Amino acid sequence: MNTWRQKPVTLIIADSGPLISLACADELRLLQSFGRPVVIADVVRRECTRKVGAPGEERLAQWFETTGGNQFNELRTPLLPVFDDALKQVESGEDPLATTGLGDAAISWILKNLQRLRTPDGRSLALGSNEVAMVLTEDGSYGDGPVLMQRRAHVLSTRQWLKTLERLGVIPSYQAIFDEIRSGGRLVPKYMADRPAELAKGVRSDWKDGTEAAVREWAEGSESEPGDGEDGSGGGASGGPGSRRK
Amino acid sequence: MLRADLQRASPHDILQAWQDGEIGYREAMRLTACDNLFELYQACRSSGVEIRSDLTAAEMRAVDAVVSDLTSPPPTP
Repeated sequence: MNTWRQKPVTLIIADSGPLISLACADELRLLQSFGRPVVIADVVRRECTRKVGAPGEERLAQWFETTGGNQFNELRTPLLPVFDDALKQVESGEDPLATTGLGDAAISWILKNLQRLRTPDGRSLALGSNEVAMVLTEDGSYGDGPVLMQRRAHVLSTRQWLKTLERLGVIPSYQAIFDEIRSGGRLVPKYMADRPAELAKGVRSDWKDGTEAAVREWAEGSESEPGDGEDGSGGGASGGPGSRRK
Repeated sequence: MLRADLQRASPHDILQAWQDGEIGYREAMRLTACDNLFELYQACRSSGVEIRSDLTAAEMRAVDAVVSDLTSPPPTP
């Protein structure tokens, strides 16, 4: 039985995999269901939009420039110049794999520097010394590897996240979203993880409280759903968050 | 754990409930969208849920009952 004390995570760090998957299903606005700030590393943003025509690329590029701007914060890391150099090597054919792992490296840098996070325009997003960040990823070797070394990092996989959203009534069908992602040309890895950060004996991180609060807020709130913006996007495969409001 | 609580539980808590013997593997699979036992064990490993190797008290009682039945002398005709 769960007897530990739960400490809410403060910040969600989205990896490129979940962003591409959500874009394929036109469900990027589900990120709002965390009910807490979502950040994206500068390298991850660049990674998601570097290949014109790749699954989800067009939708993500548009989201980053328009609606998404209100739904996430970009974080500056020292790895962006490294990524840009690597990209040149890829494009010239010198090293087709030069950019591999740089998105993960950028997230690792963020996890190591939670107390001095900044946006590209210099705004501070620093976390307090006892706050916890959560990485949303579908890369098992990264989630079970480098992230495991970070004491103040919770890991959640796309699959476990979306299944929980289905159980909480935020989306009607987990399977419908995965079918949509597949028809968009992407296969989501089978990675299944919800690993809390173990902060002290008997204290573990939790992310679900924010989602439950967001669900309550939508249920009590206005008729317009969160994320209904000017981009004209519908609710995607799921009908969107709040579509099953009680 | 109550059924309503399970429906709202985090994946980590569901896996923990399964390993604590509070729910069966089929229920755990349904709630976490794991397709088979192997995936369920993998999910535990990736979620920091300790995988127990001992039987729960209920499983022990079931084993005792089966063993007792199998080892008892056959009924005399």
